Amino acid sequence: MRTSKYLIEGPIPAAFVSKELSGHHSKTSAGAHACFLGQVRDDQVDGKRVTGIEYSAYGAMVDTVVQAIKDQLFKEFSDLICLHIYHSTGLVQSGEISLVVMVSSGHRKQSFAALEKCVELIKEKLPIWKKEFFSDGTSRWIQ
Amino acid sequence: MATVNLIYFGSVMDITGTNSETIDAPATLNELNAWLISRYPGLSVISYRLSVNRQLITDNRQLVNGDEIALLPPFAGG
Repeated sequence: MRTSKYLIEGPIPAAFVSKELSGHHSKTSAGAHACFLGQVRDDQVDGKRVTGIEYSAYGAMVDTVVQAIKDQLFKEFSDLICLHIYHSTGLVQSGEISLVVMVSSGHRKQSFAALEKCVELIKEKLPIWKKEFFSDGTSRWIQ
Repeated sequence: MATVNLIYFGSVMDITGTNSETIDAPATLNELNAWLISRYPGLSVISYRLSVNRQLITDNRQLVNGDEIALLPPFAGG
């Protein structure tokens, strides 16, 4: 199945975030970059610890949905300059990064607001599923 | 009769035992959904939505050759 340019296999390394940020030096009209990093948490469930999460995605639909999210946010936030979304697929261990959202705007206020809105829209609309893996080797889909 | 591609995700895939299949579908999306539930009874006890060609669909519609229909359990990204 076709994948998506917004999906990254495995955890997203810190170096990737740094490289993305470096790519913004040319956007000199931006006065603010706001960044959200989602990390896999080692929740305890019924005495078992979450060791990792396996993400699966409907890649072709992710492309469609991310474009719709971008269109919505650029319409809503006039100061927005650029917006980047990256989500992991496959296995990501606890403590590793599975979601990166970067928002740039002329001034700080809209970068904070657009970032929060973007993360909420991702949670609501992105066709991605996760399966928790536990310390005893069992697993379950998160609904 | 339309030939359509079915794609299954998350907990739906555990019920169907496969992540995709191509079938000769009934005329409409509602009829297809009923056919799926009779073929995979486990679908009747879980929550899922349907997309056609990567758009979520809540109403009934005619199916056409080459449609890509996905069964989508509740999203859990992030």
